[in-house]
Amino acid sequence: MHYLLIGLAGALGASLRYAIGILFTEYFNSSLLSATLYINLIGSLLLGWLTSYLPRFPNVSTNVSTAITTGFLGAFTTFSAFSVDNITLLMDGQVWVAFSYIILSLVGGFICALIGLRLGAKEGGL
Amino acid sequence: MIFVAIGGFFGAISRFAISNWIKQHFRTYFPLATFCINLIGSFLLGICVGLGPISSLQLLAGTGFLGAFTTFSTFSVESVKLYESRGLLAAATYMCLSCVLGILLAFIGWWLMSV
Repeated sequence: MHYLLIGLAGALGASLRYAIGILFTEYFNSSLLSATLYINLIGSLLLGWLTSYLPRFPNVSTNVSTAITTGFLGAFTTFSAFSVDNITLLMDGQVWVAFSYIILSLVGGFICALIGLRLGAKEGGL
Repeated sequence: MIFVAIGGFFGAISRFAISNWIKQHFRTYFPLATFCINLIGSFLLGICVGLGPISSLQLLAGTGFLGAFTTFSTFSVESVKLYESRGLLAAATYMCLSCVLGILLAFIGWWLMSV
């Protein structure tokens, strides 16, 4: 049963990532880096927050919490597109863009996850 | 969209199953499961992109399956946990190794398909 839930949440996460990617290229120009960066940062923040916030609710079953965290947020964010985006940038000679993309993703993801974990652990819970 | 959703369904399940298997068989403080999954996924997406222009198969296998199979959010949260339990050096090693090897493997995958 929990495999099915994770799969459904994963399908939702991947579709949302795909839809945001399309909207992003339609409304913004490409100099803002790829949508993957923003998706990964938002996903890291949310996963950090849920990781420390969800355990407060013992009546939420592990099936549901794993579906949201591992399934939905895991599929929403992606590492493979990050790797391939950088190959494209590097082969295009845009070394500095690739470098900023890597630093923003790694350091930004770390900071977002840290903020999320701290927020979820706070008294008020947000 | 339906291709991405189907790929995402199986990608998320595969990640969950493989990650549980690795966690059961290799007990280490290093987040080995996500590490391996992200590297394998980067390599395969490199192959996928090297195969040619965007098609329904690429949406299914690339954007859907491999996009959902690999994960950045777990990677970030694990980096923070590693920083809190083992210090900055351990976290930085995990992040740099994932990043450099991921890009390198994606390149090798792409290169294999384009020669």
